[in-house]
Amino acid sequence: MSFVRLSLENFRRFPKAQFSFAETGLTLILGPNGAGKSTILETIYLLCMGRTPRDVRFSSLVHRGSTTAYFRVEAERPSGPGRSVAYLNGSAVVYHEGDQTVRRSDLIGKPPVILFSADEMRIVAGEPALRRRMTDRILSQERPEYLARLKRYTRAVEERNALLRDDMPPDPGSWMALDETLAADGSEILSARRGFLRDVSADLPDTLKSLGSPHLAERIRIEPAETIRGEYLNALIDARPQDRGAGHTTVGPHRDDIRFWDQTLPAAETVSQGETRILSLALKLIESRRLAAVSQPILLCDDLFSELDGVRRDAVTAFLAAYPGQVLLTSCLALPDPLLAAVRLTLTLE
Amino acid sequence: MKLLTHLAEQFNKLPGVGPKTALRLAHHVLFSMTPEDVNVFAAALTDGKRRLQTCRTCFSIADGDDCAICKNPNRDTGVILVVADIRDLLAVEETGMFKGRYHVLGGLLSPMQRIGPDKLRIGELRERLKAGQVREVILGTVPTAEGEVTAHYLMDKLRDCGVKITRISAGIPVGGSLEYMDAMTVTRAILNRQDMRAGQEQG
Repeated sequence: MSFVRLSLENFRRFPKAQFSFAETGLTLILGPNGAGKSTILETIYLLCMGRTPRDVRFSSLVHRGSTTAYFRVEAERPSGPGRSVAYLNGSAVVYHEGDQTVRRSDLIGKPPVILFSADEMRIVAGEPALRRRMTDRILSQERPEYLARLKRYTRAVEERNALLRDDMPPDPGSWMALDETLAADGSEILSARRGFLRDVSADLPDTLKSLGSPHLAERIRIEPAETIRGEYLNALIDARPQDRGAGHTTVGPHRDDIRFWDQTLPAAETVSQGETRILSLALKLIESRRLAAVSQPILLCDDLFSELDGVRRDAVTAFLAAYPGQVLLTSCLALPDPLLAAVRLTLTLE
Repeated sequence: MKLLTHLAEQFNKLPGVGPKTALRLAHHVLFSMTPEDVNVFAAALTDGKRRLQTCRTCFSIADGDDCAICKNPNRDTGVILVVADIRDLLAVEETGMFKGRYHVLGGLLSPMQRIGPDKLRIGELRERLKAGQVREVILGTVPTAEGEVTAHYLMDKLRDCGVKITRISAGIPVGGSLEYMDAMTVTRAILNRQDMRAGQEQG
């Protein structure tokens, strides 16, 4: 599945604009900084995920010079529903596929999308929420029931927090019922994440080797941070006194993390900037292979090559040139010749 | 002008009615409806509120002390379907397939909305079960976070009443196609699958 023609109205720096992409293979988007290259990728991300990569407020996407608080983006899809539309209505965005309004949760994963950007390269050393978001994003695109559970779990955590913050001591029966509800969805989420992490750990060494980094493959391990000991329900019950004191739920999937180990030390403290990028890139490649098993993801590569050295450029070039799905690649610098040879269509922004 | 805006403000108090719709409705009442129609409309509002009574047994809408369902001798007193509110009851009644009686809780547990167990008619449900005629309680709360919390709570509170407790299942709607169903629905439908022979015996 892919997007072939994109129309923007009142979106970011474009009062009105149209762009075409190659249906499969590589579309190159060239232009100086601030020309709107990333905006094009952001639009496709919005149409696939129902949010922007940086989770900005939707109202900030409206074109600055506009007199109305409104934007509309539309993309043509030769296979599937024909077209995807998103437009701002008040403070919310409404999504259409074909002629039907769809919920945000029904967009996700159809088709899956993977973003390669500088932000995404902070996965190893950045805050835990980044790593949780990576796992949730992949599992949600793979399996809609994971997303549904996550939403219900999140809501149940909010309900439990409201109970904890009440001035009155929590009613024991309600507390138990809330903990049982959290535990039912939370255990499923945790076990899905553990399974995901096992798969990623198994794929990581070979992926790192394919990126020309056998030494990293030897050193790096990924493990779940052991935030929960034993059954989740028991952990919730054990945490009650501290949760009541804190006024929020302190254990569970919403506080979960992934640890990268460099032999016996936390990788965040030992690996270099460059190695961080290679690791992040490896995770992205694993993500794209994994999602391809469900449906070929669209790759959005935002200025990817400025972050990479020679060996890695060659490896990524080989990967992108052979990629069977749609790839949109932005760049403001000269690209390797083998990559240019694979380009099907070039857009130049001013 | 004041007449119109005052009326519009009243419509605006209704759920799902924003200021623009409220103004449209108020305009319609003042300029398009006949005085007779307006009288009937107004009487329905005031009479409805004045005469509203809830059934002393199941807390559904009633004309007197008891609702039509609790008064009906053909309804099975051995099965109680627990629902959050009257809208859920009406949805089940519309199917015509449920022959038991109801218990309207009056909401779902939600600390965020400050709805605790004391706001729901749970003690009354226990009383009904203790009276001894009931064989089965079906927990008919929806599978949202609040619906699940309420079901867990009831499960615990009714455990010692000595009746069978069941939960409504979630699955594929009739005429639905698996291809277009969200995966959670498909998963639940498979987990809650039924033995076809058992289904025939029941029917």
